[in-house]
Amino acid sequence: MIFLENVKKEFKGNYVLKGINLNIQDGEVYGLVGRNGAGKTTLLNIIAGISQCSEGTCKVNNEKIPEGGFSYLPDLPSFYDYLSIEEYVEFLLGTDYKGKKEDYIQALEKLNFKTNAKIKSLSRGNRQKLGIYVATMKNPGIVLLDEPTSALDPVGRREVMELIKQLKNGGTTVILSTHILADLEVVCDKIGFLNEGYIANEFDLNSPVLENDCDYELNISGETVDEAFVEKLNSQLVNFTAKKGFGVGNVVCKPKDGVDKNIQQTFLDEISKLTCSISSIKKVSFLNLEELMVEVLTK
Amino acid sequence: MSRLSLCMKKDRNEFLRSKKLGVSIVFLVAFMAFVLALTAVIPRLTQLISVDIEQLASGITAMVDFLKNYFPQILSESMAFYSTEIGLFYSILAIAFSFSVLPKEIKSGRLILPICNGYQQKEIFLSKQLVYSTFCSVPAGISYFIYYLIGSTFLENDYSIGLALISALATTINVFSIVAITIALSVTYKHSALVIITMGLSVAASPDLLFFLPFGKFIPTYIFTYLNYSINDPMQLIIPIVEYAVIILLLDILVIKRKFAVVVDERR
Repeated sequence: MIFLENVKKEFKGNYVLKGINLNIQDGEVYGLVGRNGAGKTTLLNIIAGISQCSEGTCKVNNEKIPEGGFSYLPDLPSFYDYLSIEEYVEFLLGTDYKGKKEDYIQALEKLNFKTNAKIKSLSRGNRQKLGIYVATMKNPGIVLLDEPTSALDPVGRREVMELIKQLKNGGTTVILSTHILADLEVVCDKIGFLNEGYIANEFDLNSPVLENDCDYELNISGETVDEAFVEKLNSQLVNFTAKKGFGVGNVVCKPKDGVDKNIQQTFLDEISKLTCSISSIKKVSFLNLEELMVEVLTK
Repeated sequence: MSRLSLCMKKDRNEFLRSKKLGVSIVFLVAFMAFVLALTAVIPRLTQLISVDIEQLASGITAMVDFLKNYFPQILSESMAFYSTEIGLFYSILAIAFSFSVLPKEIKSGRLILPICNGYQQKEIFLSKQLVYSTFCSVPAGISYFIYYLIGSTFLENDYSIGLALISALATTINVFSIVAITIALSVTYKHSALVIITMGLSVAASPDLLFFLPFGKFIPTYIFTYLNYSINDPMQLIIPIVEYAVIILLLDILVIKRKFAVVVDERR
């Protein structure tokens, strides 16, 4: 389990990360989303153990993250261009994999790489493919991928998504940062929106809340929205079921099975009888993650 | 094969394939030819020509006298000129080769994948230091000895082969130490310009300035002075060499203990 508590990162007095709290379970694929400069790469560098946080706790399985603890593919991976692909893979395999080099070379040849070619001769897309291969070749327990598909064609992207699915099926925890939200929808269990140095919202993509477009979101003021509060709400609602929503003070109300989904007036009637103070009501109509991201990050 | 030796193999390829060794050798051969031409070939040629062409005799005789005055045809003095060339120009070239090797790797993010594949900073750093120092310094020492062998056929030989070997070794140690210190400072200082200023001043200015001080003999840059004056007392080299070793050791411990930034953001 990856556990981050109040992680802050400061560069010359400027806080890029202002208090990150994260809890990523083993075998989960976690998508990290945010605008350019939001601090996604900085956060991945900290989780990868190649950069230290200025404040806060960062642990994996209750232990401090060691230097370069995990497989990490940085944004725009950089290689030793003067080496051939074979020499580079041999170098990265290190001493523990002596004698198994041939297996890895054959796997690369299956991916259409000429292993005796110099890395400097590779196209940007092939460099990214090579980066993904070397980041995952040792079957690591945790993989961090920063924009892994940004330079890939649609076929390459699909291959990478398949690879991430395979990693997930094998129990590997993956943290994936990308602007291509369609990729996240395909592979992620959970996504976190990084905004202004915080994880602004987290969404469980397996949650039914995101499955339809006829829910209503209430913002409750003056009350702590916890399980007890939601239970109290549910006792007052007839045609709807309330769930704790994303963000502070939010409750999502979903029509019960068999209820006509176009019963806006019924909903308004029901909530007018609630005893709590409602500061806003809106229909949840997110069609996809991209709209969700714009909604969250421009709020 | 240990991870350090894998790193060294990779750095050896880097040095050889980036043509730095080639440039080193071209510079050394060019220095050698330049100094030999001044000290041996030109005076000799002008003497020969003056015998055959009487009408040029007076002008050529004046030129020979001028060259002899500035470049005496004695091997030890000729080697002193060559040492100065290595000490001043070649050492600065070696600093220019080495001051940016590790910062460039940090800036490009090239260290991330090796570190995330189990390599430690100390292995990466020590490998770079050993490979670059060796590949820059060994050609300098060899060229110094080759210079001795060639020079001894043209010039009056007042320098034994044993002394020449020791001086060649001192040249190697000197360049090795300069490069090793440069690489250590390049990850200690945040700004590369400071490394160039520190090392450039140490190589170009300190030997001449410190020689005149009472303790001048007991600092590392005395090796420059020793070679530049073709001094025949190898025992004088012991203290500066030991000091070089101590400085490199301390700097290496500092770099390994403190660790350096692997990503460029940390160096801002």
